[in-house]
Amino acid sequence: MPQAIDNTNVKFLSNATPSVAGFLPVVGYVYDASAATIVVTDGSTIPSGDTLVKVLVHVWDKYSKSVEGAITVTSTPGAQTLDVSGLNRAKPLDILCTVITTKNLVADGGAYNIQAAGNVGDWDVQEEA
Amino acid sequence: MAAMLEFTLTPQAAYKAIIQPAFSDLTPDPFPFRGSLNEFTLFDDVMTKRTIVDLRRVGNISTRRDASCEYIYKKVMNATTRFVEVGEAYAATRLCLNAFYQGALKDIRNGDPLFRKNVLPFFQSAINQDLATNGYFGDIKRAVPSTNLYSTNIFNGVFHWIKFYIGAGIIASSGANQQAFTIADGTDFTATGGPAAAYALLTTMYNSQNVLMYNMMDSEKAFYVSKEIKKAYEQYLITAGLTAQGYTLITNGISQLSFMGIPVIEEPIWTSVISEIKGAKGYAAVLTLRSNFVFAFNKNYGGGANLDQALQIFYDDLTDQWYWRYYYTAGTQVALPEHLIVAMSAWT
Repeated sequence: MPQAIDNTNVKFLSNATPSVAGFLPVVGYVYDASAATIVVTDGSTIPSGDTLVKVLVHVWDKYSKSVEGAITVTSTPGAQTLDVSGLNRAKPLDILCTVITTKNLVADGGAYNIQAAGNVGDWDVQEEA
Repeated sequence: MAAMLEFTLTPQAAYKAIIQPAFSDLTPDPFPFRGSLNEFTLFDDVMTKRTIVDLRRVGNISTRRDASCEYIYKKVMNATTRFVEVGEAYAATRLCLNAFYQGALKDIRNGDPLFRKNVLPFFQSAINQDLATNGYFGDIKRAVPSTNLYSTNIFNGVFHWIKFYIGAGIIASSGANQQAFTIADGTDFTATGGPAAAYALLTTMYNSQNVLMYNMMDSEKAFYVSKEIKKAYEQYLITAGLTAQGYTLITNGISQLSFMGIPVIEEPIWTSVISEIKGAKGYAAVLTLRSNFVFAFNKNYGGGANLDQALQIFYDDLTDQWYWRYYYTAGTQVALPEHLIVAMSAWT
């Protein structure tokens, strides 16, 4: 006898919410080793009706020191320059980002052992209550 | 005939019999030394130097998770540049029995159960007194006349370190974050204005705590004060019509009060020692975390032919005297000077 699977919980799965599906976080970075700066720029695609609140940026070295910054405006106008001269750059740096929108969509991502330029990847997207 | 060794103790046994009881919370009943050494944190195996690792719970180790399998590992503990160092010392006494049994004592010279058997408990108490006076007030740069009652220049004590940290700016002596105060010369806590002055002092110190320290549990902190300050504070409470809420510690028989929930612990030897060092009356009060004072000892340090005897008691035919000799190493340090408020008279 066919049995229906109880799918009452499906509606609570995070990616079932249309808004999450349309949210594509993109954060680019450019690392200038000689000047000891990292420029981070937000290029996220945010569903209509929603806007960017903030991108929190943490740059870590492999010795537990970090530098923090925040982007509040998307694209080039909002690009932030982080001074990493105080970090120990003998080993490559890591960048962690958290993108937050007005409707409480949150994406956590990281770029590990960064090179001269690239995008932050491995995004874990969810809707935060 | 060479010196006859009557009695020796290995360093570990001497440590257990003479030193450790003085630092324990519950001093054994017939133990000759009573003091507040139990408030110290004791490191008993420091050979020369040991770094002080911050053992308080470290927080802020969480990070939000992304979709990768990479992790940021944060350092949990650092060995700081603060370390506790020990210096070598010895305690030695001798007794010439012939010189002792003179005058009126000559009569009992043959029948007396020898006085020298009573020297060991005296020795125990004297060593611990030296450890206590040096542990608080020791300063190796101080010139101490040998006729002084108290030993205060064998190794650096916690007040030396407190003055060092004040000089280095870690404990601010002025400004908005002032944590080091002076008790003016001539202040008398036993005079008419004494109780109010003691209460004002404790209040000022209480209000000078930094945010982190203020929010720690009151039972983790303590006021260590000269006896006069505590008695004056007790008098203040009595005059204000409040029952002096106190309790007597069974362990060392010293009574205590509390101020705003923080225990006020009386230091019985402070005034006497400060007065001897200073040449005039002097007082001190410290508000800090309990166990902030570190006492380093090496329970494996000894002397003798194989460096494995800490306490030696022997009689030498040639000099016709009984000798007691105790080898030890000791040092102190303050683990977290930033969480320390001090008010003290000036002395060098």
